[in-house]
Amino acid sequence: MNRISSLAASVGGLAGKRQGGVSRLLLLPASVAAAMLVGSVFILAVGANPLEAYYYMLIRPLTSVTALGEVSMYFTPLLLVGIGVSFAFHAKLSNLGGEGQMLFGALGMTLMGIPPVGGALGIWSLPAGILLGVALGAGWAAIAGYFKFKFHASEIIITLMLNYVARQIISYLVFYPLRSGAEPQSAKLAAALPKLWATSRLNWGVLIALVLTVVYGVIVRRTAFGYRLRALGDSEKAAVYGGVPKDRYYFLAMVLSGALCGLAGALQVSGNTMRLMEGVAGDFGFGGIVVAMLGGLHPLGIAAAALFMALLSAGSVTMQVKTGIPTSFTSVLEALIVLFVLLGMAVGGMKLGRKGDRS
Amino acid sequence: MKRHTKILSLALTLTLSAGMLAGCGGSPAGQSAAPASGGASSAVSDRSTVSKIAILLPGSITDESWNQTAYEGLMQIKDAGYEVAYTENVGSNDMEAVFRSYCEDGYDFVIGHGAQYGDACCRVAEDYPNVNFFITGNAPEDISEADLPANIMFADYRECEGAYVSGVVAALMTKSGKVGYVGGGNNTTQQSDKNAFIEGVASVSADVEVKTVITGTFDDSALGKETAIAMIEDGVDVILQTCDHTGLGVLEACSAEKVYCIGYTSDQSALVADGLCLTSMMVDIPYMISSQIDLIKAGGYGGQAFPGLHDGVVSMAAFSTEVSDDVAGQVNAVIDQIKSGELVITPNYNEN
Amino acid sequence: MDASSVFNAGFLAALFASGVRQSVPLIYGSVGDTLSEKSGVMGICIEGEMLFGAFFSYLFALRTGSLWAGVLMGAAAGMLSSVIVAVWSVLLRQDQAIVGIMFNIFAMGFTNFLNRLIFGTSNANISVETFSHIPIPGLSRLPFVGDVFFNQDILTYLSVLLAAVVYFVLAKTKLGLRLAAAGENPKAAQACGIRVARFRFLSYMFCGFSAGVAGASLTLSSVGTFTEAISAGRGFICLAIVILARWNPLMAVVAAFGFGSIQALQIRLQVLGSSLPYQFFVALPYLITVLVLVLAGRNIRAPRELGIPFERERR
Repeated sequence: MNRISSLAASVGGLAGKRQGGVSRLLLLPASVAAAMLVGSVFILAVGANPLEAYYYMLIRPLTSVTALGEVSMYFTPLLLVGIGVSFAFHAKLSNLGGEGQMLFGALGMTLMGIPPVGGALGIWSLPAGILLGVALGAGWAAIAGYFKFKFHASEIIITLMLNYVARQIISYLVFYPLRSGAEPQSAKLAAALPKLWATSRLNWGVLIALVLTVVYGVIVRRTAFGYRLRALGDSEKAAVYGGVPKDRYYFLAMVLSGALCGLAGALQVSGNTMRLMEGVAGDFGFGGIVVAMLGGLHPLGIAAAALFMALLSAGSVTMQVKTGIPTSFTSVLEALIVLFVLLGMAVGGMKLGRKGDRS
Repeated sequence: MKRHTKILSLALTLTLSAGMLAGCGGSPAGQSAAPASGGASSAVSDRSTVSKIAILLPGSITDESWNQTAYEGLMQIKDAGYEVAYTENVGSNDMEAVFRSYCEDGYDFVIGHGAQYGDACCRVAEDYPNVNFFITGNAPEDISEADLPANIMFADYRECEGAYVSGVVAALMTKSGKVGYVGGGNNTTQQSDKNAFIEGVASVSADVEVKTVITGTFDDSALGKETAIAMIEDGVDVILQTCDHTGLGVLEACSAEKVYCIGYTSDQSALVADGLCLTSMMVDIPYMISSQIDLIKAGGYGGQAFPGLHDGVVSMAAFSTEVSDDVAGQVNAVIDQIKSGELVITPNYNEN
Repeated sequence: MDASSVFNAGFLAALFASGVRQSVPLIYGSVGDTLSEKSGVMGICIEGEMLFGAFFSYLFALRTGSLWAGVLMGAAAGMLSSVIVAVWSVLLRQDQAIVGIMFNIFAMGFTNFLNRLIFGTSNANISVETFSHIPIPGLSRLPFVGDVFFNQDILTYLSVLLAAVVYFVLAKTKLGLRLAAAGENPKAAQACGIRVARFRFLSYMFCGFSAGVAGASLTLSSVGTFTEAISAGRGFICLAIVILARWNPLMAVVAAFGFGSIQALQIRLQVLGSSLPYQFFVALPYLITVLVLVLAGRNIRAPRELGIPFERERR
């Protein structure tokens, strides 16, 4: 065991950062392919054809605008949560609280969209809801950010715990004060996100997410803020020595992260469910982490990874219908892909968009 | 070493892609199963036919209850020669996507198993006017009846009638004067079950106390068991559960503590020892679905229906040996009253 | 609510007895996690390991007819599954939180998959006899505490024993000191000849073993059957317990008992007709954890290098 560990360490040490770009280009697809290969074992176990299954998951959803609209329902939140958690990852913070932050974002949109406010605002409830959603998502994440810089409490534990708390708060709200009618859900929103295409569910959310991905790229790569954030992630000691106010940056990274997750939640109610209900954040909190990892925290990479994961989700129903593989296989495959990508990155001596040196 | 890494990863890629091709064999599936073009509108033209049926389930098909009976019903339909499909654990995010996915794949009868699917179904049904939809629950209350798409049937079935009868059974069988209800939580059906159970108990005796617990989960059988034990310790000696996996724990506790219980969705007497499972309030989901197929074939499908004990959709399982003829007679009299319409159980969705 | 029915001894004894029963999986999980966190690795994966333990303990107890075979296989399954986590987190030095979360997703899908493969869609009819209660002679006769603490099943007694052993090892032995060194200052530990990676790898395995037993206690002490997703978030409560107990296994027993009793109380409050929304109680353990982190934040000190992958000095 020790030998493996020292081997891995030496590989890691020698594969420097400069050639990381090239080997990542090869390693990521290789890792994904390896995961899909292991996934094939499961597919074969239920007596289906893996190639057929992957065709329905990855290619079929791209064949019509209507189907693309369905992909966008997964793509938009995955992309937003993906760039959201990436902000935190750059500072070497793990934001596992995307789900809770999304729920609060969804709540913000709902409060602006339902009576009494929604009717009065009309279409203006959308920007108002987005603003409030972003604020609530950021606020929920700020709790974890505050504890991190105030008490050095593990943001991993706190964001994780706060997911459960947020879930129960939303459950309480749709069950009692916000409940409309018999089902535990809020009233219908006054306005839906405008569509981009008549026969498809494609809406403005996709554009918002794509624009913000570009903004994310600029902030991280072209601004002093982004540079310092990455410096902090590379080596806290060196960054602090270089004059980065680390507590403020940790806090800001967390808040930005939560703001984007909140936006994802706001777009989720106004572009998909139209009401606040339990489970409105789905698995996007963890899905966004997968996307950020697969994308190597690079804006283009994150967008590509979000598309890939969205295809898996959108195609999983058709895959199940045509091949009899349960849709839960999608989550097994997701987990496998991440584990294999981590493996690939370890072999290639890469770290999640940041160098290995810690102290 | 640098070079090695590259070669290694390249080799890995090649081996794996080759492995995938070789391992799976055959031609790419895409060729044999080309995407159906044109979507549903061209594939399905007449609303009075049905050939491919799909169902959206909120939980897992192994829950011995709400979802599993739907699955079993679907399998019976499959045996009758129809093409069927199902999707489990469809949450609020995925509802519309899954509905649309089935419509695009040429399914001409799509069922949402629970009132929570009504809203999403209304949005989808307008885009697929030639597909029939069925929701096993009430229509969304804030959509006026005139605005409901014509191609959806809502079966606001009266599960609460079964809960009312269960209340009567419980009140007649209790010796301690305390009976219990364990619910999973968060939907209209559960709420009306709880209220109807309380009404049923009260109709027999004002002195019997009803203890109710909402566990908040349909998955945690260990919690269900502890819940039942807490009730039993409080003196409860008959328990109705309506919470799937969680309810299995309730039955387990009743079996262990030798206390009466009432099963849910299917006849659960086999799960409990010594005839302690007095009866089960059953919802005949296979019947509910197969009768829809006849309705579709009759033409003009859609609207709202309120099936219950009268229609055989809700029924009570055979009484166990613990139930005396006298009690059985009284319960059957209540069932007959409900069937004849003499006694009307209105679903009450309110808290408490 | 009738106050007299709350404060009589019989009610309280029943409440705490239920609290003890519900704390057993939490004790196993949190004791395992305490040890692994001491060495510097976080047991986010407990939730998934519990599922492995629950499924395989049920499967083997059913097939062999022996509950002990079930417990052993459940523990073994938890331990083997933890090797996945250990390889990725310790050997490959990847982010423990991400590996743990992904492992949990995998475990959920995998156990459901196996359950259907082996039992089809129905296994509720097939249940195993659960462990019976063993009154401890003498002690179980004590008023009040006798019923609460000394009339439980064997896995309950063993959980406390395990906590005591882990406490002893961590606090009183050289092994424990070395383990803590791996979590506090791995570089210095390595310099002193402690094999940090090996310690962390093995402590992950111990955590998996313990979480496996936790899973077994769910199926073999409580319900006698496996249902999908039976761990129901208990693994995450264990993480909270470890923090509340400040990385002390004996305190973890107390904290687990506290959470078990809160759960038992919330059920009974509902039985008694309390109108507090159930969501409040479901969120309570998590809220308490966060609040404790706030109120006692500065005094709570985790192992210094907890969650940070260890890399040896490059030469």
